[in-house]
Amino acid sequence: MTANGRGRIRRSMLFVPGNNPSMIQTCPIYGADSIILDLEDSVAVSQKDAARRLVVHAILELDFGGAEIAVRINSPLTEEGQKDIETLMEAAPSVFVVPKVESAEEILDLDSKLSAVPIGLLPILETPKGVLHGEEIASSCPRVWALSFGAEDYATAMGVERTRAGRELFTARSLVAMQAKASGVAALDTVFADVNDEEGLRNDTKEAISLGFEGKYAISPRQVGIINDLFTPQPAEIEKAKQILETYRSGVERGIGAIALDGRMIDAPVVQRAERVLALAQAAGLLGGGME
Amino acid sequence: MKVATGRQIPDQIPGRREVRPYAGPFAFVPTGVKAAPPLSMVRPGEKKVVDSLREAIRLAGLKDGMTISFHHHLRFGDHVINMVLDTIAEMGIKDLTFTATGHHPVPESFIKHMEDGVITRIEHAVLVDQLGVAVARGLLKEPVTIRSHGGRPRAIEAGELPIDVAFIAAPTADTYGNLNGIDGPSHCGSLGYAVADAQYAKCVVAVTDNLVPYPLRYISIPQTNVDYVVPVSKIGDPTKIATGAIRKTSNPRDILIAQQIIKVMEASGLVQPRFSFQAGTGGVSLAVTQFLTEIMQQRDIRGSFLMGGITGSTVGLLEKGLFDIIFDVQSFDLDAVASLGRNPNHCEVSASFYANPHNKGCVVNLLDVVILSALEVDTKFNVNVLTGSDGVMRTGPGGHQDTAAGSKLTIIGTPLLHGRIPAIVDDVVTVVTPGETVDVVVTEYGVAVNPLRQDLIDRMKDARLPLASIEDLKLKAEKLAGKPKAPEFTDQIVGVVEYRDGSVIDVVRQPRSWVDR
Repeated sequence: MTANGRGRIRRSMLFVPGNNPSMIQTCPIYGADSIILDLEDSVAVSQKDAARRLVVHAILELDFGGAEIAVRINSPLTEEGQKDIETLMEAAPSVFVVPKVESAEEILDLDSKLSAVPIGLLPILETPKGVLHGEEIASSCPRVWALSFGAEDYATAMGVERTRAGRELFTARSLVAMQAKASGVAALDTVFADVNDEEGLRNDTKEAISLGFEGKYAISPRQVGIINDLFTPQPAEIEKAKQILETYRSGVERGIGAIALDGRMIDAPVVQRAERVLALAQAAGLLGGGME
Repeated sequence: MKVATGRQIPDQIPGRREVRPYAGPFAFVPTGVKAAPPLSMVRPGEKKVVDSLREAIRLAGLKDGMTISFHHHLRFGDHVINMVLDTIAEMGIKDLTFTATGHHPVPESFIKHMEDGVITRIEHAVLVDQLGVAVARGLLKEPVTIRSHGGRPRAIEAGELPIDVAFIAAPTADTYGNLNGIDGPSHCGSLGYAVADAQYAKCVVAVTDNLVPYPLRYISIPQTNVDYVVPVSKIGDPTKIATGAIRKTSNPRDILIAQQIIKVMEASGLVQPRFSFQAGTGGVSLAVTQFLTEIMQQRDIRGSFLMGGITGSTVGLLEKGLFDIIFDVQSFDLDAVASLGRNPNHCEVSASFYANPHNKGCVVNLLDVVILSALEVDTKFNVNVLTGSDGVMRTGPGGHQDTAAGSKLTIIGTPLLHGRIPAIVDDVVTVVTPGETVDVVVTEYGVAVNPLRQDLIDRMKDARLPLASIEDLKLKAEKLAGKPKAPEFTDQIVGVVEYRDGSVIDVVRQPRSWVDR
């Protein structure tokens, strides 16, 4: 299993209930980079079987445009999770979003079940134990393309109240972002639960960006545009990134050792950041005058 | 014979003196003079207040075979239509032609009056609820004539829709027949649709639950047009007349369509100082209005006038100083009603002022942008806002034809599917608004510009809009929902769709599924 899904742009990842055919059909129109067909929390136990069948058919039959198709399975430690894995393997979505992961063994066990089926894994760390084992989980196998944080279950496990400011999550979010980066995978942030609070969503997303997250889960299509906008670079940033890469390439061609732009050194991390800015701009349709 | 959209219509239609085919939005030039009500006289000392509806109907001289009219400003709270029809039925008067300005409630008794022969013809009404089904069942002798908000006053003024007795529900009336809609327990705001009926009917009977001493401070329909005033205990249910403020939508699909519409408007270059705008009261329109507010504030643009179904949202634009004037032909919520009563820049206007193509200039001619909805749009951009996918008439054209013809930019905002039924099709069931007056169709899956508007296509290309051809949108809809089976019809014509100039743009035949039901 290669790690080729690691570099993918995932500014917004939209959860869609796996038992709602109407929402599954319309979800591609909102511009989310990834669509997560959910079999876990948004599906009642009595509807799990029907949702699994619906999700398999949706993946095989529907056109989701350019969006990445992920499925949030139930925890592989549960019977429902095992059924999800067996059923969904035939449809082979790009990614399994795996809830409540607490150890590398869980991921390795899932990796062996998936065998040669090319499905990436996005573990959600949503317990204190999971958060503390983030680095070993992220490094456990090349299928792990990103680490993500789940705030609601984490707060419950910690026995703390969720607040709008989110101070109670600060350490855990920082740790998840840091462990993801330390392991060379992307960091994806938790959902913002109040779909009517646009300002709260903006602030929460800005906080996530400041902590190093590269994308965020959305629970309503109305959140997608706001999240995408905030994770999308501004025109000045794009211009700067273009200049950096142009200067760098020209310097390399001419064999210059220390390449600088406006008096500042362009080293490998600067180049990587510039490349990411342009990749994000491309995903947002901001390059080449094309249409979104 | 063939109309300019390519549709075939019959050379002759029962109950219709002349069948003039639609030839283009401004092809027909009217001649002759306007109709007029008879001369009348009220001597000093004579009173207009009449004790009962029955007495007013007797005094009005209503007889078998005549035409009676109503307005729809009380919308689904209206009690007057049924009150009048029940009284007429009790008096044994039959074979009447009914005309109303728009949506009104249709209880069982209304259908019974059709079955019993009290109402035998309908000359324009909006066929909601069971009325569309009753017409589809073939309950009427002659087809219903469907007219736009501008087409109806045009027909009245041209003498094509003579009204014998107009019954005007009046939220407030004074003792000498001045009427308004802004005061009283059943206030509804503007009475704009009733103006032509009041001016041209042979006799005008106002029905009110708020009779006040003479003179009224704010007059929508003047004493010079009103013959009798009947006080009753209640003209309607206020909770269904002007409801609380209509709130913005939270439907993400509607918000997405609204965002694309705003991009289209901006790309058109029309959102400039002195800009004029009309949108409806649906979710998409309200969201567009909200986004437009933000853009106009950011760009410090002040527009000229607003029109259409007026809501608190429209009033907000006026009160924020983003537009100079509201022209209000119909108020939709209590915020709009209150604003009409207090703000001199919120102006009540008649349907003829709004949209009649055959006067000396209606407001739609000066509209820059209108946002409209659709049941179906076809690949020639023709729009159906009348018949459902089963072929039954279920709503009405409102100002659709009028604003599409008058405005510089007509945008149709519609989801690609209504439920599981494609909204973009090869041929609409009924053409109401001709494609040549429709510029852009915005769906959640893409934006199609009418090829007749190459200038717009050029502007849209640089606007990062998901442009698609209308055929692509149709194929996308069919891919998602399949191609529905077209409804089947008998040869019997149950509806005639007039274009706003009085020509016939399409006919509605009886859906075969309703024969013998």
